[in-house]
Amino acid sequence: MKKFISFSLIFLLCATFPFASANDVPPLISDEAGHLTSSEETKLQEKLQGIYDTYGVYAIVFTEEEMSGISAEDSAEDFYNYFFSGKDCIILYIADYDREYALSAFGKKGKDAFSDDELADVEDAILPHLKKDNFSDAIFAFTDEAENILDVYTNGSTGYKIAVISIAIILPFIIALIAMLVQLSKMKTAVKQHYATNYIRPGSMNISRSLNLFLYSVITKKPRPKPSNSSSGSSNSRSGKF
Amino acid sequence: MDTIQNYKCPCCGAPLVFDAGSQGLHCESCENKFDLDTIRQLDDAERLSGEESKFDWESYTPRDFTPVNGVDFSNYSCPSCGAEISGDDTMGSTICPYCGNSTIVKGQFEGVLRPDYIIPFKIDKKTAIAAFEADFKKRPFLPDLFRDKKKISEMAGVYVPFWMFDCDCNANLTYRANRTHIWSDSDYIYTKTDFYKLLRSGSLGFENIPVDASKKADDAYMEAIEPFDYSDAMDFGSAYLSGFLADKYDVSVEESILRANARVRNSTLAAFLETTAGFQNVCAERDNISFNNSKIRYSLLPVWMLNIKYMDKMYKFAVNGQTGKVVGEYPVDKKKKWKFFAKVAGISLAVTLAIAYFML
Ligand SMILES: [Zn+2]
Ligand SMILES: [Zn+2]
Repeated sequence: MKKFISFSLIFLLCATFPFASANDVPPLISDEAGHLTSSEETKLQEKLQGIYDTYGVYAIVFTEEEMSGISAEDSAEDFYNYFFSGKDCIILYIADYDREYALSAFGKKGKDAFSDDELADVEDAILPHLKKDNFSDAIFAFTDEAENILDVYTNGSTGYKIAVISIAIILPFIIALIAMLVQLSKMKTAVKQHYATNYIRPGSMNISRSLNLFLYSVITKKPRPKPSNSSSGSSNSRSGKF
Repeated sequence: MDTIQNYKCPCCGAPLVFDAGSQGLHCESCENKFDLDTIRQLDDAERLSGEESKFDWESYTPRDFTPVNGVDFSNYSCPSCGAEISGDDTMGSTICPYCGNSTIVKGQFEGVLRPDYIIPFKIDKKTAIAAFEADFKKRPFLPDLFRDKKKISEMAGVYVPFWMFDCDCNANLTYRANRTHIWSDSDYIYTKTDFYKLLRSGSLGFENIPVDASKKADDAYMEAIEPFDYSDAMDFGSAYLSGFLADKYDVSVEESILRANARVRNSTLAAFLETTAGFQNVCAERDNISFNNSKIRYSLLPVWMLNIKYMDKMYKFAVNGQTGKVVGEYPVDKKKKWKFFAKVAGISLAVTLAIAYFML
């Protein structure tokens, strides 16, 4: 009996988290809702493993058919605490019956790489697919976007690199040109005077009228920049309905 | 109150309407309210400052200047630049101080005209040459071959004619300006901008503005060697001329006055702009500047002149004969110039690349 229980427990774990017990790698995919075909799942698994190998951050896909009485964000967090506690992760959680999703980043590097702006970018990438119920497209869009963001986070964006390099090359020539023009101006000292300030009779300035007439006022207001959600919490996350 | 003129809104230009309730003026277009007195003063000031600027010629009477008599001067003319200069006979061979030509010929024309005053040479030729050589060393791209002792020794002292202007300058100015206050509550940052019209009227006196009265002397050089110290100015005596060359005016007072007025105008605008401290975005709108109580005197001021030929081009220098201030235009050694460029570019490139390496 004991044997049966433990066996069925293992079986259950295998079914739910197919990779949890297969080897020591925690489950990067937990597709309980069954949105992915097995070939898609193999492909996704390779991609997610590649992301971890390259950037040291786990990208994780967790789907459920129905939410289990807690919020989407809490579901993602439970999953994290159970399998990945203390590690750097970005989790996509989708519950298709409730049409809710959550994007949560954990760990120092995970939260650094996926701040509010980056999570919003990921959200923009997946939402159009989710709205059309193209779940596998949404999952792959999540993977691609997460990979892009990690690449920019690790290597800097190419636009940024090009900007830094071109400034580093052009700036010295501008500096040299200005320095040269300054030196060159010392070669010609015969220049006209534009003012006669030397010749003002001391104390001769006499102001007979000095009026400051107030005309009108204009008041403009703009919203105060909100203090950004600092990553002091356990996660950065975004969630919503689709 | 039907005597109210058709005032225009200073904010948007629409006609203002009198509002009997508040006894003020109201703009129906931009909904601003104005005090009647404010608008009247504004209208008055704009009328004044919109008038044409003018120079008061009435206080200036044209004069004649008499030649200096009783001195043995020879008059020379330069076939190259046309300068007509005078010098005493003790000077021997003479080189044209304006263009460096050495074939000047004796000519028959009227010599020096008696000035109202003269500032005598205070520094001698040796001191002037030393001043020039010291100035020389400070110039970064000077060709090594430029230095020519023999040429430098040809420096000549010239009394250059100047018109000296005195005038009072009356100004009526209007400016647009604003002041901003910024404050915030928990949700918004507020910016309140108060728009003002600033009215300024007043006068400013100028004395002894020198304007070069010789066509051959370059205006830029003659302005660059300023200032002269007028406490050394003397009543003219022909003894001051011995050992020096002297020129006489060939630029009329009327022409010179335009140059003086331009400088007076700029200085007046600058002086009045300082009275608008405390406002931001001060922008001059109208100005009316008129000159009166003008006095014009004729004077001779001491200048050491030097011309040095380098690579077929004549380079001119002038040294203030009173203060020793050196001005001129030096030739530029292209190799030295680009070497300097390459050096600065190389060093800064190394620095920026190092910074870029740490940023990427
Ligand atoms: Zn208006
Ligand atoms: Zn000449």
